Amino acid sequence: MQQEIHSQTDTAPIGLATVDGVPVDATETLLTFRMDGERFAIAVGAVAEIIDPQRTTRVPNSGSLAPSLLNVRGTIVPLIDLRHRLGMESGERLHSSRLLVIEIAIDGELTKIAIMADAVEDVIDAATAEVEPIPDLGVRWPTECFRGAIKHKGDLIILLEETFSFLDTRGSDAAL
Amino acid sequence: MSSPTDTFLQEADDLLAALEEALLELDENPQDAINIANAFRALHTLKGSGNMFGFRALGDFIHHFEDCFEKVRNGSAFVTPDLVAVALASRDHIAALLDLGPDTALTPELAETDRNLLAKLGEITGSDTLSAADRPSEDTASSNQPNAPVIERRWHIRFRPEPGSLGMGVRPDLLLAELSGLGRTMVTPQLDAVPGLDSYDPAECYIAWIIELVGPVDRAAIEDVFLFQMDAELTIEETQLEAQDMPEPAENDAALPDRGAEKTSTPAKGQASGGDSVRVQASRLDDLMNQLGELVIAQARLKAISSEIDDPRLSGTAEEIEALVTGLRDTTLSIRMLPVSMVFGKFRRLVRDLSSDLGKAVALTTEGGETEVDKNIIDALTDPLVHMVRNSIDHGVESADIRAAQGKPETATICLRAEQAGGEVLITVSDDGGGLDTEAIRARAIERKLISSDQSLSAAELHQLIFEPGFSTAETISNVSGRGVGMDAVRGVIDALRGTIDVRSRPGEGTEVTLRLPLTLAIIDGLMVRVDDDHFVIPLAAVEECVDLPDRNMVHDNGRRMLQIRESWVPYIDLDQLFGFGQSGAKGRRVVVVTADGRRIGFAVDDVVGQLQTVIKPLSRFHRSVEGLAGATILGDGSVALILDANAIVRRADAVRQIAA
Repeated sequence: MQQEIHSQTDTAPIGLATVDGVPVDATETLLTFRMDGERFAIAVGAVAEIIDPQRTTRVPNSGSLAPSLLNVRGTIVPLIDLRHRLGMESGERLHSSRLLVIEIAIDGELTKIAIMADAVEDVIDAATAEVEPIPDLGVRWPTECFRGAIKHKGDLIILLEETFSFLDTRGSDAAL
Repeated sequence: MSSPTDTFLQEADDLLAALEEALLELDENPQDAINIANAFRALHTLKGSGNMFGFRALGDFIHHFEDCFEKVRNGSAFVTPDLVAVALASRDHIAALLDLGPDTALTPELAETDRNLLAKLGEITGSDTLSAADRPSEDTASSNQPNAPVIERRWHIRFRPEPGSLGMGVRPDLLLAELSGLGRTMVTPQLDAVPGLDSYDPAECYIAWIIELVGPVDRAAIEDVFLFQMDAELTIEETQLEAQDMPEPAENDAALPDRGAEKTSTPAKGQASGGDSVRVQASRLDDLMNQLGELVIAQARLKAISSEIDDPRLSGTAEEIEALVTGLRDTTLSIRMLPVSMVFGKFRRLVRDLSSDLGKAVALTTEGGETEVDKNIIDALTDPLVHMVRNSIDHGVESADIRAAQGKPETATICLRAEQAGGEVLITVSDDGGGLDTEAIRARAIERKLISSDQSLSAAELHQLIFEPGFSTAETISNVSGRGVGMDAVRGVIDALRGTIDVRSRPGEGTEVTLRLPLTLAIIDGLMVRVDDDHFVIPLAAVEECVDLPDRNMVHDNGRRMLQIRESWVPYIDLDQLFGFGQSGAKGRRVVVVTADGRRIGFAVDDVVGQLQTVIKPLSRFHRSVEGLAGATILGDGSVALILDANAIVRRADAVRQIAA
């Protein structure tokens, strides 16, 4: 099964929260998903596709950031263990689990990565101005991974840092 | 190629290479008539096609350059080292003019170079050459034979371009302008073929021209103008000079009858020199290769499905497709194979220039230039080889007096050699210079904190240190080499090509650096093995044999496992342990014996699955630095298998053992 994300709101400016320091009414379209009971969101524009879990191949001696890889339509894509990067326990594969294939530029190089979500939930429009710093209860997580949090229908949604620059393999222990 | 101008530029590159080759040959054998003719021909073709594509400054310059070689060809001037030097500089100037692009005026600097070079050429060969900047345009034709009596002739030329030729980059305006450069012309357009507006295609050329040309011109000169108009209708006829054309009666009446015999010119001769080969844009080859890769994967999937369904009709077809894909793969790979001489050819000039810059006499010899390697590898090889040759001349070759004192021939020799060995190609740069100074390397490495001062290293290990980033033992930094980036960059390129570098050096006798490279980067034959539940592919070129692993392992000193195969003991590596998969409990394990770094080494695996065509897919940046992997491939069932790099696995195992010891 494959779900296409219809990003009809692709034109929504992302990251243009202010003009001359004055907040404007910018909204951005986010894809929300669940991991370990928490709700996360990333910009829809970064998501290339959402696919059912597939057989992955473990990469010996590759470290904990990207311990395995898989074939997405003929391209070899690393499966990033986002749970490990965010300091979460590793999880079971659920019936609702999906792979998010995300295209990001790392160090100027366009790279596809896959992350496993427990469930893909919704596409929402959020006002950029409403992005708040992560509340105190969230400090157990590495803050460089997040842009902030928004409240949506009474629920707290954590925005992943949109360039995923926290995955950069240079200078970190990531590749070890 | 996308546009005709690009095609011309590509051909111009080849012609410049041919010119350089001829000039360098002449440097060694000044009397060699064949190379004088080669140089002349290259210049002549460049001039003709350059003019056609709007490179006027280029055409003008070459015209005079060509005149000098005309003198050499007819024996009134001789090839001297000075002439070769100026001619080589002129070749570079032509390259600069090509970079300038068509229909562009000279920059002041280029005009200056233009003038200087032509002045020197004229001085050496005694030709009367003027730069484009100074030369009056009517001079063009007469300067060919400045002393010949001027014989005016009248030509009637009818030229109708092939209607679609505008789309091929033909510029009738330039052709007409070139004709008017030959003499006095009267041009009449013929509009009879222009259709009505309803059927008019603005991209077609409907016009023909009749040109009356009067000047000291022979038929060949006119035909040259139309050299590339193979599909055009073209007639060139000589007619009687009329009274207003010329004051005196023509002297060459006698020549007229036999001129008349060839009234209708044959279509101008094209460049048939390419034989029956075609030029193809490199990116198309890459596309072909990518699609072939996908085809190989799809075929593997078909094979898997066919063995599942087990229908003889399906399996028959699947086998047929497999055979066809294998053939297609071999053909496609062979299209991409180019001779190494394409790289080697560039080094004669480099060695000549460097040896004169550094005041060292160096001769270059090449061997095995016909060895064929994948185009992408050829492209990547040039820069590393330039670094290596520079290093050899700059650091390796001693000055003439030191060489003399050691009883060596005064002229040093640098040898570029290529040979194919199994699935690899070996490219060697060797010199007969002073060899690597292991003490200097050691001192430098300690200074650079690459090794500690109490570390004892073999000579071979010390030699490898020259490839470390920031390493350079040259005491003074020259503009030739010595910035310490060269050899580091060499290793970067060779690593990216999945190759290895060996260095052998003897003090006082010279240094030999060998690059071992795979023949191709895209599709290889692989041997699939199973370790635990995962599949891996070992490049078949590295595999020597597969043997059973006896259940009772033979463990030898410091944990190294050895296996007796016939008469010899072969060390082997347990891949499951190296990969951290834990001890395999499997029965009937096997050992794949490979050649890595010139040694026979076994890889113990749970099972050998079989051979397969392996399309190498690159790993993402998250896995590129994982040692021991050469890439990944997609199997028939859509899953991914990792491709092992035998050399890197042996290196990793060595490192692990050293840490453990």
